[in-house]
Amino acid sequence: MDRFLFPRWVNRLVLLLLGLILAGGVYAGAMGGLITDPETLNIGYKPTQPIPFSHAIHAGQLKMDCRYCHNTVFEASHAAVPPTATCINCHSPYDESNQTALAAVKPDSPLLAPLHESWESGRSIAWTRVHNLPDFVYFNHAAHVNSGVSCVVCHGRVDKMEVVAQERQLSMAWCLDCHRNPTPNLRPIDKVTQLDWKPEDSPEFDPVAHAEKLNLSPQTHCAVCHR
Amino acid sequence: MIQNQPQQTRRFWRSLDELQQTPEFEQFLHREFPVAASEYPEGVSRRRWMQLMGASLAMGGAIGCRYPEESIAPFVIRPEGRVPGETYSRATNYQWAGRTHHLLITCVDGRPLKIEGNPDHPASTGGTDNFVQASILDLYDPDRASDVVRSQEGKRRESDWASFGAYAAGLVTTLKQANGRIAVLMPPTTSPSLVRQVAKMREALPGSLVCVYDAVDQGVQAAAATAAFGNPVQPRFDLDKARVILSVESDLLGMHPTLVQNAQGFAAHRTPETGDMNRLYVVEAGFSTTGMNADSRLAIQPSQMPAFLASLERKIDAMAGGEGHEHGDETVPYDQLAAEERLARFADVVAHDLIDAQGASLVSVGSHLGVEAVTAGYRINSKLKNLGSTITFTAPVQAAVGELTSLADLIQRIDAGQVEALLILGGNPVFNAPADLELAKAIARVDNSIYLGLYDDETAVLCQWALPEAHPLESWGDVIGDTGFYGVCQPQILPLLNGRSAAEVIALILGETESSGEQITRRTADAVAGGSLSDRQWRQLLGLGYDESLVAPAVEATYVGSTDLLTDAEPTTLADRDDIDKDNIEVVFVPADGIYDGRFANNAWLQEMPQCLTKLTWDNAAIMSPTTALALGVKHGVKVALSVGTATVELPVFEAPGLALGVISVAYGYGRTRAGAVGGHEELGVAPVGVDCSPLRTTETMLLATGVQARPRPRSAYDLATTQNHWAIDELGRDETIERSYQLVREGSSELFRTLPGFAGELGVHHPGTGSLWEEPINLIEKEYPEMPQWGMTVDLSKCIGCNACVIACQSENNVPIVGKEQVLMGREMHWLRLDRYFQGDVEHAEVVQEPMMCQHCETAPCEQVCPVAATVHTDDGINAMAYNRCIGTRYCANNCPFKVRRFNYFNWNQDIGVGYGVSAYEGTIENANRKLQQLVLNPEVTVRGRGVMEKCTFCIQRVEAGKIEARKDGGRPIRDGEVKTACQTACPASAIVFGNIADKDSEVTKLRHNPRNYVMLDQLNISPRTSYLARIRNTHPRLMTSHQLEMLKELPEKAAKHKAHGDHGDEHHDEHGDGHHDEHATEDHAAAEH
Repeated sequence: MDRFLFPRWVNRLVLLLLGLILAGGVYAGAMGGLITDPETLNIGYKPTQPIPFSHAIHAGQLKMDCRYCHNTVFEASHAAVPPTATCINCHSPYDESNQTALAAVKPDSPLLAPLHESWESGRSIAWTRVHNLPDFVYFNHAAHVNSGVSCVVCHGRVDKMEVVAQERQLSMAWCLDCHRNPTPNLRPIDKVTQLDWKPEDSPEFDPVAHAEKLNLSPQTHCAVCHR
Repeated sequence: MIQNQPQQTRRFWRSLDELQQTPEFEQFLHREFPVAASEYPEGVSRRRWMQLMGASLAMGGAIGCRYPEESIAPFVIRPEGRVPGETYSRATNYQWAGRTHHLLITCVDGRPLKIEGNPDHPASTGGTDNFVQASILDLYDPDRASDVVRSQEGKRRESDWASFGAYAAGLVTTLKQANGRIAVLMPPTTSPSLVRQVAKMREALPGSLVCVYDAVDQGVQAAAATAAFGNPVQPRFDLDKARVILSVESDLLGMHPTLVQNAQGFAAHRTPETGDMNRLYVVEAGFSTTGMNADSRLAIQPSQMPAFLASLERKIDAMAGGEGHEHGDETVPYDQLAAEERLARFADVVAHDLIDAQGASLVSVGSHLGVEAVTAGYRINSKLKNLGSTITFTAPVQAAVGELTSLADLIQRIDAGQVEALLILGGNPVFNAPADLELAKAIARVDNSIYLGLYDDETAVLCQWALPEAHPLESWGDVIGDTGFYGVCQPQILPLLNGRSAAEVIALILGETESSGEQITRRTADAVAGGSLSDRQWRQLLGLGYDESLVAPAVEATYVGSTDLLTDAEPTTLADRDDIDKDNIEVVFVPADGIYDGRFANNAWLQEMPQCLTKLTWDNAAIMSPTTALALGVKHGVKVALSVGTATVELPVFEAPGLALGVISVAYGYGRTRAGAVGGHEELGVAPVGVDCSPLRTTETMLLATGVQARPRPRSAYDLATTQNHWAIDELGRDETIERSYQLVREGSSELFRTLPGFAGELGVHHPGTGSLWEEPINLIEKEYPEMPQWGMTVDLSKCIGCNACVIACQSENNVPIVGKEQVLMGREMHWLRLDRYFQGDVEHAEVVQEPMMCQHCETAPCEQVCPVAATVHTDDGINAMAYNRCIGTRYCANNCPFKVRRFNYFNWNQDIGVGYGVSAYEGTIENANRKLQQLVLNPEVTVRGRGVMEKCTFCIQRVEAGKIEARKDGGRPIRDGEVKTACQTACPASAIVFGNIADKDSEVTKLRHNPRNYVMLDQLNISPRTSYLARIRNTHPRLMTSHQLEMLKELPEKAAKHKAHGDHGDEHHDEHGDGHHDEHATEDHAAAEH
C-alpha cells in the first residue's frame, strides 16, 4: 500500500502561497485604506460642467465678488447657484434682429449655447455638483460666513480655478478640526469673500476677541450637523 | 369576570386587560417588543420581499465609493424674494372637515410642507386640529382624482375640462330654453365666493334648487337655531367667558365645528394657581374627548337625555323663582351612589352651579338629541342669561344662497322628474346619505349628473361627469370664520392633479368671463369690503390672512321658540346588567376621530392615528361597556350583529369602561369601497378599512338608533389594532410601590390643590435624594457655558384635552412613517409622540387622564449608556440626539428606555412602502411612479430613516438648530424665549405644551418648572428628565367628589406632614448609609489588611 506523499515542490508552493496571501493582505489593506481615505476620494474631484464656466476669469481676473452670483450665502443654508438670468445680465443672446437685450459679452460663443438655450426654453441648466456632502449632513452656509469663516476655508482658491475642483476633504474629521479650534480660520466678516486675504491685511483683527464678541462656540455634538 | 370592588381596583389603569391582569397584557409588560416583532410583513409574500431586498442590494453595488453624482438645476429666473432651500410661510384660510381655520403654511422651494395656525390672527392663537394637520398628506395623495371622467353608455372614459366646458354650455342653453331645473347638492360652506357663485347660478337658471347636506350634523343645529331665534343665525360658543359648562351629548372638545376656539377658551381657564378654573359637566352616552375632560361626568342613555334636560330646566325655573330645597344626607361619595341617586345628585349640582354662574355659563346640546332638544338647550341658556355673553351670533354665510331644499325633498323631486340636471359639489353623499333615501338610484334617474370631488369616489362613479376638485392648498377661495373674520384662501402651489375649485366650476358652467379663482375671490372680497379693494389692500389681506375692517358684524338674537318643556318625565337610568334589553340597545353614531365622516379614509396618517378613547387604529368597532357586553353575551374582539328593522351590520366589539349601560357607540365613515389604495378600493383590490354601518343609518337613525337588536356572533374573532398596551412603561415593580401612590400620571381635585398645592410631589415615590457621585457631563457643560441654552419642555395636563393634533403635527414635521394595521398589531407603530390614556375609578364610573408621552430627554439617559456605538448621545444643549448613521439597530436603547418612547424601523417604511401606505395597502402599487408624488410631503430638514435604525422624538432638533442659526445671523445674540417652538407645541390648540430654555430663569418653561404642580416621571431612577408635567387638576364640585378624590384629600396632607417630619431624619439616615458608610467600610478593609 503506497502512502501518498506530497511532491517536493509543494513545499515551495506553500511558502509561495503564504507569501502571496500576506502580500495580498498588505496590498488590499493599503489600497483599501488609501482609496477610502477622503484625501484620495474627495480631493481633486473635477467633473465636467455643461458650460466651461471659469471662476478664474470671473472671480479672479474680473474680481467679481462671490456674492454677485451666490447671493444667498449670508442668509441661507445654500449658497445658491445663480439663476440663468444672472448670467444673462452680461451674456445676453442675440434676438432675431441681431440685437442683444442686455450687455453682450461673447453673445455668439458656442460655449454659451447651453446658457442661451436655457434662457430661451426656460429650462434649467443641469450643473454637476462638486462639493457634495452626504444627505444626512445639514450644512449651513449662513452660520459659517456670518461667523467670519471664509469661502476659501472649504472651497480653496476658487478664483484661481479654470474648472472648479474639490480642494479640501470635507470629511467629518476635517470639519471637527475646525469646530474644535476655529480661530485660525476666522477673519473679519466683511473679508469673508476676499479669497486672497491674509492676516497681515487686517493687523487690527484679533480672532479671539472676534469669537468672543460673536459668542462663537462651535459645537461638536452630533445633532449640530445630523438631524 | 370583572372585579368591581373599589379596594381591589388599581388607581390608574390603561385598559381593561390591565385591570384584569390578562395574559395578553402581561406579555406586553414583559417584552420589549410584543411577540413576533421580527417577522416578515404579512402583506408581502416572502418572494416579493426577497425581490425588494435584492433590488436594494444591486443599487448599493452600483453606487460605488463616492456619493452619487448630483446635479443642480437653478431657476432660469428666480422669483423675487425666493431663497432656494429656505422655508417661507404664507397665510391662508380654509374650511376643512367642517371647521374654518386661519393658517400659516410653511413652504420650501414652492411646495407646501407644514401647516400651522396663524398666530397673528385675532381669532386664533395658532392652534390647529388633527384634520387640518393631516390635510397636507391629502394634497400629495396620488389617489386623488386627476382626470375629468365622462361616463357614457356604462363606460367611463377620460375627458378634459374643455369638453366639459362645451357640454356645460350646451346644458345651460338647453335648460334655459326648456325652462329646465338644475339642482345643486353641496356640503355646508363658509365660503362667500362659493355662495355668491351658487346664487349667481340661481339667477341665471331660475327655478334651480339648492340642497345643503351636512353629513355630520344632519342640519340639526341650523334647524334648532332657526327654531329658537326665529331666523337663521349662527350661534357661537365662547368658552373663554364660561365658568360653568354643561355639555349634553355635545362633543365640545372633540368633534365640535369650533373645536380649536373651544379648546383655546376652555384651556385658558384651567390654571389652578390663580384660581381661574372653569367647570365642565358632561352628560353623554358614549365616551367622547369632552367626556375625558369632564370635571364630573354622567353616562346615561341618549333616550333619557331629553328628560334630563327637562328636569334640569324645571330645577332652574324653581331655583330662579327662589325656591329652596334640602339636600339631605350626602355622606356617600358620588361614585358609590346607586345609579338613580347618582343621576339625581348630578342634576341637582349642575342646576345649582349653572344658576350661580348665570350669564357666565353655557349649556350645549348635541345634534344627536334632535332639533327640539337643541332648541330647549337655547331656552335654558336664555333663562340663564347666557345669550349675548357666552353665546353670540353671526349671520350664517350660507343664508345668501336663498331657500334651501332638504335632501329628502330633492330626491322626491328627482323621482317626480322635476330635475333635469344635478350638480354635486363634493361631500360624497352617496356614501353618507341616509340609506332609505336611495340617493344612488336617484342620481341614475337624472338626465345630467355632474360630480366635483377630491376623489373618484362612490358618488363620482355614478355620475355622468366626474370632475377633479382642487385641494384648498392649490386653489383660490375664501371663508368667513366663526368670529366673523373674512379671510382669503390663497393657493400655495398650482393644482398638482388638474383640479379646479367649486366656484371655478360654476363659473365654467355659466360661461362667465371671470372664471379664474383669483378673479372670483377678489370680486367677493370687494363685495365684502363694500367697495373695490386696491392692489395694496388686496396684497395686505393676503399677506396677513385677515383685515381688521373685513369682519362680519355680530347679530342680536333672542329666544322666541317654544316655551314647552321637552317632557314631563323624570330621567331614569339603567342600574345593572339585568336592566339591559338586548332588543332595545341604543346606538350612537359618531364621526370617526381620524377619518371623520369617511372623507379622510385615504389619509393614512389619520387612519393610523390612535383614536381618543380606544387607541384603536385602522378600524371602527362597536364600543360598549363591559357590563353591556356581558348582557349581550359578547366580549372584546368578537363580532356583534346590530339590526335595525331588516338591516344588519356586524361589528367587532370593543369593551371600554365608562359608557352608559345599554349603549353602543359606533364611528361611521369606515368601510369605503372607492377611497383609494389606503382606505379601500374595490377596483384596486384593496379591502375596505373598517365596517360600513350605513345600512343601519336611515333618515330616522342617522345619528341615534334606538330599539336596536344586538346579537352575538360567536367564533368571529377579529383583531383590533389598538396601541393601548404597547409601550407600557415597565411597572413590574409597581405592585410593591402602588401602596406608596407611585403614579406616572398625577391628578388631584381642586380641593386637594387648595389644601396641598405640592400634592404632585407627594404622589411620587418617596425616595432618598438622587444625584451622582461624579459630575455628569451635562452639568459640567451647564457650568462651563452658562450662556448655552438648555432645552426643556413642560406639558400641562390640566390644559391638555387629548385631541391628537400634536400626534399628527409631529408626524408631519418629522417624517414619521405609517406602518399599516398588521404592523400595528405587532406593536411596530412609529409615532414619536403618543397620548397615554389612563383610566381611574371603577369600570362603570371611569374617569380618564391623558398624558402626551414623548422622549423625556433624560439628562442621564439610560438609553445612551447601553448604546454600543454611541449612536444616541447628548447635545451640549441637553437634547438626547440620535445619529441615525451610527445606529446599527441593536435595540438595546429601546430595551433600556424606562418610558418606551423609542421606535425601531423594521423596514424601509418610507422608501419601500411609500409614505402613508400600509403594508396591506401597497401590494401591486409600489412600482407605480405616481406614488413618488407622496414623497413631496417629506420635510427636507429631517433625515428620512432607513431600515434597522432606531428613532424617537428629538425635541424638533431641526427647529432648535434653525433658531440658533437665526440668532447667529443676527450677530450671535442669545435665542429669545419662545423663538423656538416644537411642532407639537404650535399645533396644540390648548397651549398645553411649552418648550424653552431652562437655563434662563425668566423663560416661561422655567417658571412652569417651578409650579407646585410640576413633576417628572420616574424621578427615583435618577434620570432627571428634561420634560416635566404639571399635574392634572379636576375641578370637581365638592358634592360630586368621588371616593378616590375624598380619600386623597384626607390621606395626602397627612402623608405630606409625615414625610416632612421624616424628611430631615431621612437625610441624616441617607448620609449614614451613603458616603459615611462607604468610608467606614474602607477603613475596616484597610484595618483588615493591616492585620
